[in-house]
Amino acid sequence: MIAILRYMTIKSMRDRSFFGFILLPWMLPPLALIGGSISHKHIQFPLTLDPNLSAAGNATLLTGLTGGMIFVLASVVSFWMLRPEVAARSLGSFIFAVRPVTIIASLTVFATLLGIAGWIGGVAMVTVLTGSVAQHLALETLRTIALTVAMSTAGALMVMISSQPAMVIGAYAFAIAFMPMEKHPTTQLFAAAAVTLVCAVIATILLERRCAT
Amino acid sequence: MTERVIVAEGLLKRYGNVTALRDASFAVTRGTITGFVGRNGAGKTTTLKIVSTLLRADDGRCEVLGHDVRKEPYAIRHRIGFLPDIFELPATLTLREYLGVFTELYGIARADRPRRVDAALQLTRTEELADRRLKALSRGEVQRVGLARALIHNPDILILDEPAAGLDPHARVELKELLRLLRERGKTVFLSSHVLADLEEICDELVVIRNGTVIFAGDIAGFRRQMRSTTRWRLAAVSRPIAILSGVRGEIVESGPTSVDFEGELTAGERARWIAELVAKGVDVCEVSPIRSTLEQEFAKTIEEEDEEAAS
Repeated sequence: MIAILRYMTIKSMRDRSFFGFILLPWMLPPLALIGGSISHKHIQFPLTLDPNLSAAGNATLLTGLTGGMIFVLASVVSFWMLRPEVAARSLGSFIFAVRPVTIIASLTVFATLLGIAGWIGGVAMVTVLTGSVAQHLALETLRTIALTVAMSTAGALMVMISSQPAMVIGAYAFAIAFMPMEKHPTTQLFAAAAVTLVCAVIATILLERRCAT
Repeated sequence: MTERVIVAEGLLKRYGNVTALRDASFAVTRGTITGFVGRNGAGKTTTLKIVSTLLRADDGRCEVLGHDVRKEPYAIRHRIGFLPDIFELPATLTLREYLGVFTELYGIARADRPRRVDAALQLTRTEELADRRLKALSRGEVQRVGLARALIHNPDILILDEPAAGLDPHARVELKELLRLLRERGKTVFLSSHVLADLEEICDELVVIRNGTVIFAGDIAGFRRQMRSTTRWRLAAVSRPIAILSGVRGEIVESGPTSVDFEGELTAGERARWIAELVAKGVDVCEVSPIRSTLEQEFAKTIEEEDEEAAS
């Protein structure tokens, strides 16, 4: 797995997508806060998205938004990282060396690690700019990681179905499915676990089949 | 005793209504270069993918190095090197990085990895590409990089699908040299190619497939026998016309002022008698030589037969 992670790291660092995927969640809080402050003509530190909310309330709202961005981005990362190999039928060379499940697991871990890096930077930005820590940060972190893992496997599944760029939209459908469960974190965590398992299994089977074509 | 490292028996593969392989059976002997020949769509790539465990046959049995491809694919994959007909390389990595990733994927010890990479670079003559990114490579360079990757873990068997496709004559010569070198090192090479002249030059054995059915598996001489090919003889004199010896079985296929191309069985005794008779008549014989039909010509016969079958 380490070798595939190294392969994906080198590839993404050379085409700069590595930095983009990490820095995008970092940039969401300042941009949203600056935009919010300008629209409310309330430009003073700590910044607010909604002046009617407390600093903690603003931090919680922004942390939720950052989390949402991260798990959607995770599906893009896992979709994107081996997309050229899938499209060019070069993935077969990997499965002579490692099992297909290792490739899917590596994709998931890579996207999740980038998501966690984005999460850490994003939460730090929120904390600094709003002057407050989000409420239930531990639970929010757990939820974001679980959904990031689930969305990573969903992205991997989509690329194994088809490497057409538009297929990544399919992964977003999973994100939409998670939304109604917002108020029920336990249900959301179980749903994320189920999506992870199902997507990983199907993606592994499809990867093996893709190598045969 | 010759050991068969690839054994296929009665392979059947269907894609919807199309039968790509039917009752395909053949074997590949250890330490040989075996050519796999057939028209486009005859089932070569399907067979190579089944042998290399990427594709499952619908029926039949295939064993590689004593392992069933269906039941133990993972036991086989680490011991073969596969070069597909179409593949791309990651443009942003250097060749050294790319091969380094594969040494790690194959679980080669960390201390041994640089040596393995250097050996693969040297073997495939890609040293000058080592620190270049894998973009804008020529077709020949891409093929060599693919070979380096297929060889990086020192596999027992090398399975190559059209390795000579798109290569210039110089690159083809280098490829043949490399394959000969691998055979000398005890590797088994199973390759498909449309360049029959190259196969004839380097192959020990041949598998010929037609419409998904293996019609021949064995050495090239055996293929000629199966095709009932007759040897053509050329008899030439310096200046005077050549007379045909009476009683010789065969026919003249080409006749020049001082030479004759004769197709038929000409025993050593008959040849000696013919030359003696011509010399006695004052003919200055300068050439008596067999002109063997090329593998390409033999293969063309199978195509003709196929077309005739289709027409009937």
